[in-house]
Amino acid sequence: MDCQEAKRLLQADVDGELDAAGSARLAAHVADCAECQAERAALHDLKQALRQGQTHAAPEALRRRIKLAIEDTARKEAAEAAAKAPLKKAPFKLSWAWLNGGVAGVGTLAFAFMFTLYLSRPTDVDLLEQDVISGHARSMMVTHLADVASTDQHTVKPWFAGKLDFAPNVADFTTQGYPLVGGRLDYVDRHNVAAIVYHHRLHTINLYEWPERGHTAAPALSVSREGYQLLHWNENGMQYWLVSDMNAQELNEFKDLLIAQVEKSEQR
Amino acid sequence: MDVTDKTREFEAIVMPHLDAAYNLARWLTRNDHNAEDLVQNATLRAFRFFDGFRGDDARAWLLTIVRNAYFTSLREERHDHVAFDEELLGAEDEEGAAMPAAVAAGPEEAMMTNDTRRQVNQALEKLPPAFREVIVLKEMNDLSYKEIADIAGVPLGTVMSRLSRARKMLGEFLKSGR
Repeated sequence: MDCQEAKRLLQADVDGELDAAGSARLAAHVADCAECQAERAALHDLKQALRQGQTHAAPEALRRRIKLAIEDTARKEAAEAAAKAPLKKAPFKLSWAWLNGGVAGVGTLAFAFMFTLYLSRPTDVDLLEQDVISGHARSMMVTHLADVASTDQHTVKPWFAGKLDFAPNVADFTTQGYPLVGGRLDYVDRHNVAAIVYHHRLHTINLYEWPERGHTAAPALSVSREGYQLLHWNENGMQYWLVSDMNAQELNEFKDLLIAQVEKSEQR
Repeated sequence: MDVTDKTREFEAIVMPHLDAAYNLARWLTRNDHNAEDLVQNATLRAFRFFDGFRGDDARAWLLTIVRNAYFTSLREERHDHVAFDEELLGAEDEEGAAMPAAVAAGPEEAMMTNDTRRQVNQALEKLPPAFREVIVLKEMNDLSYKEIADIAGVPLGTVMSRLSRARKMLGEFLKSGR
């Protein structure tokens, strides 16, 4: 072993990294080599000197701080894990939950919507009212108040014969302030009906008459619709609808007249 | 791993090496405040990656994280990598130079005083970080070449040459400081 190799191995030897065989060979060389002895001594001395180098222990405050920081981090990680865990399982479950909720929600909404529609659906009576009012309004708009214009009930009533399968009650109430104006055919509730027109001062009154025809007629009523007064009653298998822009009280008086007249004609 | 278990295991396996970590950090940074920051950051980083720790040497693992954190921050401070490497490794010198005789000599070395300690500390602080690192790991933590090579992420031969070079420099510093 020459000095160059020995110097290379000296460090490993003092650091305890040289195997026993290498260590023995090195020792043999160093024993005969002053230069290598000095080198080895220097290395030993330096090692000794470096033991005097300060070793720093972690300050207690740092230790505590780190412990707290770790616990804080652990809490955050636990929270993250807790937040992640349901998410991992959830997409499937969640989507079904949503679907269930959605279906239920849509179903409920649909039902609510249909129910609302059902509730707001015009009833038969509502439709009748509309028909009657429309008929009245139409009769006022055009010069079509009467197909047969006559103040004579004996002209008006026969006019309906052959046009209707029933004979409407027609009477003149001129003396009571309700002169007969005429009559015309109208169409209400899918029926051809008789419309008898009366006047009361400047008001026009339409009296619709048609038989009940099996299905139960709407119950008697007195309502105000769109500025028109509606009066309805049933009598002797006939239904009567009075519509006018008169007030309810006057229309009721006229109704009483009509009923009295009908009863009188029945007795005849 | 449950977070509570992880915390317990970490405290049992890694925390005992906090002193070694702090010593290395303190010698690398040469400053109490920076050393504490470095160790705290490194330890928390270790905790976060503790799930991935499969090794049997928690000390080497923690020291690796500390020194990597330090050299990363050093590199981030230095935008000029050439300058960084120069500071890290110091100027090249001739291979196989003899130990300065003055250090080798001196029977009075046996009489270690506070003065000697101060000189040693100063000499260690003067070493470029890469050399200081291997010396601290070797002389203070008594790690093997292999362990130092793993921690510093360099080949074993590099550890040996850095140690040799570091010792020569230390010898010179101690000689001139006397």
